[in-house]
Parts: sequence; structure tokens; C-alpha cells
Amino acid sequence: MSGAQPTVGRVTELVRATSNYLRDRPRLRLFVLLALPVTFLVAIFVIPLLIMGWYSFLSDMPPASLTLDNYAQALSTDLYLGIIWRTTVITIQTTVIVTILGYSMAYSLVRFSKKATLLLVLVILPFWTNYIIRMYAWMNILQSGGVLDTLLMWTTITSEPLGLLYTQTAVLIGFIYIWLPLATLPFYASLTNMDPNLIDAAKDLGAGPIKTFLTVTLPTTMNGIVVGIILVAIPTFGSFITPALLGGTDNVMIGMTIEDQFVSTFNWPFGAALAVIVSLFVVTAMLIALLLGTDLFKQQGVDQ
Amino acid sequence: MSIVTVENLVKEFGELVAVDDASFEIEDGEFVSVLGPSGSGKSTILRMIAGFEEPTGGTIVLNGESVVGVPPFHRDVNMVFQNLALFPHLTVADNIAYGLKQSGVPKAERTERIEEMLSVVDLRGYGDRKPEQLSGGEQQRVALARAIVNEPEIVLFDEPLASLDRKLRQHMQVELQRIQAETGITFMYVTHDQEVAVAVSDRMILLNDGRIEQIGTPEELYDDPVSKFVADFIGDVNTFSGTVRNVVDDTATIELLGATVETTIRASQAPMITEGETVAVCIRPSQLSVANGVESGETVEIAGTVENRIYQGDGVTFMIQTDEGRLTVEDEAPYDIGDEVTVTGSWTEAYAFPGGD
Amino acid sequence: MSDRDGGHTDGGVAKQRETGSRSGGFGGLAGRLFRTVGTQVELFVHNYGRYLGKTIVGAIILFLWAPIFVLSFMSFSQREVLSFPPESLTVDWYISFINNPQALEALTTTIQVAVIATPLGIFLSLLIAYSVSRYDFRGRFLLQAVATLPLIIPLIVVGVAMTMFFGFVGIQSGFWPVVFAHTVQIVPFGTLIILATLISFDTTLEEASMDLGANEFETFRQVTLPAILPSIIAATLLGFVISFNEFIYTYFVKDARTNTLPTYIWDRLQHTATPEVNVISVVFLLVAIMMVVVAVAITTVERVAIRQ
Repeated sequence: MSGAQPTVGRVTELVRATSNYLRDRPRLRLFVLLALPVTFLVAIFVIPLLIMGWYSFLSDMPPASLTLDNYAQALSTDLYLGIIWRTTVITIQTTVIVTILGYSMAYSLVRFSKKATLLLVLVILPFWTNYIIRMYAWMNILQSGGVLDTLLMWTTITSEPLGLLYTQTAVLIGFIYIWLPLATLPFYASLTNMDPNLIDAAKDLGAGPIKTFLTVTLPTTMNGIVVGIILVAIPTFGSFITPALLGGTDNVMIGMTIEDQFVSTFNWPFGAALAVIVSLFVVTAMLIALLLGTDLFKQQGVDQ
Repeated sequence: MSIVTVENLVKEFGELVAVDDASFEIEDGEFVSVLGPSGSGKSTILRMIAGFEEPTGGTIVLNGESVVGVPPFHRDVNMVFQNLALFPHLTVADNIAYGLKQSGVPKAERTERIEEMLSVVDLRGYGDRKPEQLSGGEQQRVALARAIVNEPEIVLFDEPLASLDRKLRQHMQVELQRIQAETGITFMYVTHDQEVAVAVSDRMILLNDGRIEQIGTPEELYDDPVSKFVADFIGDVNTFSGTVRNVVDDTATIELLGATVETTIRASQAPMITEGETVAVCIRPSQLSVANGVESGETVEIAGTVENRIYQGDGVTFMIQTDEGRLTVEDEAPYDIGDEVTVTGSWTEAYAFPGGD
Repeated sequence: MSDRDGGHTDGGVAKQRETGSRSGGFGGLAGRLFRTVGTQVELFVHNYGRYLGKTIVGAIILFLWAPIFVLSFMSFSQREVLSFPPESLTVDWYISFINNPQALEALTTTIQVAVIATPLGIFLSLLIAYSVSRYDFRGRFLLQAVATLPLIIPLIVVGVAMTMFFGFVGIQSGFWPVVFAHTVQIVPFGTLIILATLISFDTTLEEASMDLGANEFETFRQVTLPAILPSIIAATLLGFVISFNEFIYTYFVKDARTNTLPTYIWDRLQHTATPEVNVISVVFLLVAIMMVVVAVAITTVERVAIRQ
């Protein structure tokens, strides 16, 4: 103990000296704080993205000449345009359904439920289990003669197995299942933050529950809705696990095509170009959503 | 004609009885306040009239029709909320227009009525602003305009002035009275602040623990309280414990502080105030006076020390520490903190209530 | 109903209104019909909306939990082929999981990666969040944007970008690239969570501490750190869960020999799925539940500690 004391004293002294030294040198202080995280992010995140951008203009694996062919191929071939279109459609379908279901649930939890926190944990918990495992579970449920078919035929709702696996419906169910818990969180947060007196005020002024919802609740929680939509739409657009496991070869989405370029076709420059296109798509969609969201929020007052 | 008739109203939340057998009537064009300490059930009564809560028992009749089971959006009642609940995403004009839109008032007429209402509440030219751009007092006016523009049978107020500072609150009280007189709409105002209630209302309904203690004009409640609770809640009282010696009509002779005094009792309480009973004798600060230590010749004299004096403009309120506890006395006497004084009272003006201190 | 216009300054206008207000909006029979139906629907929702809402919540929770129950149940299934309901129950698949060196190695790797990547990611997040919230410097918003960007750019894009990067700079793919990739994914969550509490934290407490003679380190250790500790713990738990479940980045930067549990399952699903995969899914579920229990336990302990 007695031996440790001077060491501790010396360390404290050193810390104090360093603090005093850095206090007068803000740039150095910032450097000490940020050198590690900035270096790390630049090296492992920013530079890879830049390299990807560079790859997307290459005619072949490096060393190779620069070209726009990859983009031309992606944006003029019916195959790829079709895939981008299908991806967009599925993304929109997923987002709309998840928003409606998630918002209804969040609304019900906030307004009607006494055990909202417990129920919210029940909703979130499945989200913490593994993505692939959850998709695998749906493979079991949706496959021909699987859990769903057995159940439907046992209850004599259908007489033939539906065999939903490897259809677009299956992909949609998979996405809804994955994103519903995540989207519920911002909906729940914005509804909790909303003053419940506003709802009473609207009813007091003669608006029924539906009108109250459309003219008061919806506009005042628009921010949460936009966040939820972004949280669902972005990962859906870039997803490849769900369509690969549940959609099979007939329901290819853009994420699967990118993966294909790196894992089996080995056309890295073309894959990079597709990845750049996906990124641009996502960033643009997000900016539009944000603008639209704030705009909606502001313009509600004009007239309903 | 009565606009609101409430009969034997009961509201239970599980074990808790929030409103216990309340009955009262509100006349057309009245300004009635519902007064009581927090948790006395006054807001619950308000919310039942508005339709946000359904009563456990009893009836609410609005303009001749029972509204039990009628949803809030089908009741001809409007409310000014405690936190105002202005729609943050709508402009002032759209906030006021909200109720008119729901009842299908055409746009041209809406515009006209909004303009008229803005001038009634003294907010002309504010129509395009958002609530967040207004001061607290201006927001109060918008909330009021949003309620009265619909010309409801009655406007309910859930303590909306509580958040304002004293000066602004007093100003708004005057404004409320002016607007009520101008529109002729019945106002029902819930508050825990007796000063506000006394200032604004034609009649007051005083609640205690879910039950109605007394209904009457501010003067009636002040001058003729039916219980110690009422006497204590409306204005200050000093309370002493005494023993009844004799009762003749509405006058009781009571042994108090080693002497006997005569006080008034209410006819309704006469049966409970009988010889030998212990009673609470309540006396207003204004009925007590301060004298110096010299014998005054009064039967009851309480010796004490001036603990504090608060200058009130038209008089002085003394806090006097005595063996009977601290007394509040309003007088114009020239005493200072630390002075030894005696307190005397005009006991015929005091009230005696059963049940001791 | 309301004919109370007597008190108005302009009685004439008020009278005129009464006629206007009732016939306004929709004209004629169709309009009246529309209104009546609308009123009925509103009344229905007023009376039964609560039950409708509760039914939706119940149905969704069932929808969210059914697949998990199906998997847990099937991990006890006898046959190798996927089937439901299982004909007879067995724990054989748990035994074969324990005796499968590949699966166990994947589990070990997953834990190793998470144990390194989580503290590293949270440490970097803390440095970024602290600098961004406490100092004003050029590039502050850029830094914040870059730290949040991995959340916005689709996982697969960053995944393939990392493949190209590690290939380009000649770093052998494998364990460490996986760790670094996971760290990149943890940073945005960590930064956002810690930053939120640092911003809401009352900075006058720090100023008071400095005023009383404590230097920056002492102030951070004795004032700031205790205040933001709950958010650091939350971020750490979340980071661990993210790393434990991470698939896409791992898939692109791992080599053939390195497998985490998610990539191991992916491989299995490409060939023939055995009920062993169901066992692994139960492992994931248990880890998730454990994390929630840990989170609840920590917050409870903290609440008790604060009360004392």
C-alpha cells in the first residue's frame, strides 16, 4: 500500500500537468481526443466507400481504364431496370404496411394499454434475435406443406397446400416481420410525446375519433412517422438476405444482384456501380422524405 | 331555465370515490365556479359534463336532455383546457375554425365569425400566427375564442389561468367577465384558488373530498359558511375549541378560554350543538382586534407577542403568537414586531361548528 | 340546439348563421346520407376503437412470437427433414450441436469478435460524442455525419466496399477485418445514444466542478462519467447484440475459415438445413433474452443505488 501511494500521486500529478498543458492548446486537445476515432472511421469506412466509387468507373479489375460502361449497363438493361423496379415496389409495399400496422399498434399501446412498457418489450424482443434465424423460421412456416399449410388444411380453410415460400408474398411477409418492431419505436415515442389533451380538445370541438386522428394526431406525430419510414425503407431497399431466403430466383432484388457480383460472378466494378446507384437512391429518398415530412408538418394549417 | 342539471352524480375509479353524490343546477348565463382543494373531484365533474368520463351513477342533463352515454363530440359543450391544448400545427385562425368545420359551417361564414371572435378576445390581426408565437396571455385568449366561437350551451374552464402570473391573471379574470357578459354564454370555472373564484363567479360550488360542501354566492359562502371547512377555505379563520353551555334560537353561549361568549349558529346545525358538546369556534381575522397589554374589559383576552406584521395597503395583518397558537388579526393598530399585546374579538360574528377543533 | 345569439353585439349576423350552418358543406340527400354514415362510423369507432386497437396489438404480438415458438419447438423434433408438428421429441440435436466442433468454433468466434468490437466501438463513440458535444471546431458536423452514416448507407454497400478495400490494401480477410467491420457498425449507435445524454446533461455541473479546482480528467471521471454511465451501459448492450447478430459485413470481409454463428447458419441454409439450426436459433433467442434481463437488472440496480 505504502509503495502504491507515491505512484498514484505521480499519476495524478501527470494528469494535472497534461490537463493544464492541453487547456491552452485546444487544437492539440482535440487531436488527442479525435485522432483515434477519426483515423478509424476514415480508414475502415470512408476510404472503402471512396475505393468503391473508384471501382465503379473501372472497365475491369484493377489495373484497368476508366469508363462509364458499368452505369450504362445497369441503367439501360431491362434485367437490371426490372430488378430496381421490383426492389422499389417491394420497398414501398413493405413501408406502407409496416407503417400502418406499427402505427396502429403504437397508438393502441399509448392510448389504450395499461401495461404499455411490458407489451413494448414483447414487441422489441423478437427484433433482438438473429435476422437469418427469423427468416429461417418463416421458411419453415411458409414452405409447401409447412406450418402454415398444415394449420390451414387442418382447420379446413384450404384444401391444397399454398406453398407461399419463394413468392413475392413471402418476401413481403419476411420484411414486415423484420421491420415492424423497429418502426414501432419512433411511432411510440412520438405518440407518447404528444399532449393527450389535444385529442380531448378535438373531440370537445365536435370531431369524432377518426376526424380527430386525421386532423390532429397524425399531423402532430408526423416527425415520428417520417423517422419510422426511413428506418424501414432504407434497409429494405438494400436487403439481400430476405429475398435470397424467401424469394428464391424469381424475386431477385438489387441487394442480391450486388452480392452476386462479388460472391459468384466476380464482376467487382459492375457490383460497385450498382452499390453506388443504391446509395444514391437511398440518400435521395431520405432527403425527399425529410423535406416532405417537415413540409407536411408545416402546411397542415392551410386547409383540410 | 337551467342549462345544466346534475343529480346524484357519482364517479368511482376502482376503490377511489372521486365524486360522491353531487347534485346542483346551473342557470342560463351564469358564471359558476367549482372550487375545492386538489383531489376534491372538481375536474372529474368537469370531465363528466364534457363527456370525457362517464359517471358511475346519477344523471347529467344538458339543456333538458340527458347526456349520459353521449360522446364528447356530440355534446354542445366546449372546454378551455388547463394547458390550453391549442393545436400546435394549426394557425390561430384554424384553431378557432376547428369546431366550426366539424359542424359544417360554410367557409365564408367561418371566416366572418373568426374575425368577429378575434376582435372579441382582442387579438385582431393574429389569425395567421402559430400558437407557439404567442405569449401566455394571448394563448389563453385563443383557447377561449376556440371554445366560445361555437356558441355552446356552456363553456367549461379547467383552471386555465393557473399558469399566469398574478397581474396577468387578474387582467384575464376581468376579461373573462367582460366576454361572458358580452356573449351571454354560461361559464363553469374549475379552480382551487378561492381568490379567483370569489372574484369572477356569480355562484360557487365548494367541493371537499368528492362531496359538495356548499353552493352559493361568494358573499353567502363567506358570511354564512355551513361548515368549518367552508369557513376555512373561503377566507381565513382563527379556530378555537369551546364547550356549549346554552342554546337559544340561533345563539349559543359557549365557554371559551375560561370565559363565556355568545356566537351565532346555523339553523341546520342547531340539533348537533347542544349543551355540553365540544364545538369549533371560528372567527375571521377582521373580527379580531389588537390592543396593548392594558385591561380592555372584554370577557376574552388572549395575550401574545406580535410575530410579524404585513402591510396590506388598507390595513395591517398581524401574526400573533399566543398560548392558543398563532392568530391572524386584521387591524389598523400601530404595533410592531416583538410588542406584547392582547387580542380581543367580537364573538357574536364568530361561527360555531360541531366537532371541536 | 343552439339559438343563443341574444348576447351578441351583432344579433343579425348571428341569426343569419343559424340557417347557414346547418345546410352548409354537402348539399342535398347524398350529402346528408354521407354525413349520417360518417357519424355512425365515428360512433362505432368511439365505442369499439379500444377493442379494435387491443385486438391489433394482440394479433401483432402473436405474429411476432409465433415463428420463434415454432423454431424452439422444432429444435426438439426427431426427423432431419423440416416438419411440423414433430412426430416425437428429442434432445439429440442439442447433443449434436455441443459435439459439432464447427458450430462451437463459430460460437466462440462470435463471442470473441463481440467482446473486442463492442468496447472498441463504444470507446470510439464516447470520444466522438464527447468532442462533438463539448468543443466547437471546424468539421464538427462532418464528423457527426460520418459517424452516423453507417446507419444510413445500406449494409450491403458498406459490406462490398470493405471487401474491395481489404483486397485493395492487401489485408488478409479474416478475424480482424470482421472485428473492425463490427466496430464500424457499432459506432453510429454508440455515438447517438451517448451524445443524446451528453447534450441533455447539465453542463453547469461540469463548470462547477472545474470551478472547484478539478481538472478536465477529474471532472470527466467524477461528474460527467457517472451521469452518462447508464447510456454507456445501454450502448454497450446494444453494441454486443449488434455484433452478436451481425451478418452482412461479416459475410463480405471474412475468409473461408472464419465463421461467426450467423455466417455458419447461412452456410447451413445453403445446403440442407437440419434441426441443429433450430438449436442455434434457440441459442440466439436465449442471448437476446439474457441481454434484456441484464439491461433490466442494471437499470434496477442503478435505480436502487440512486435512491440510497
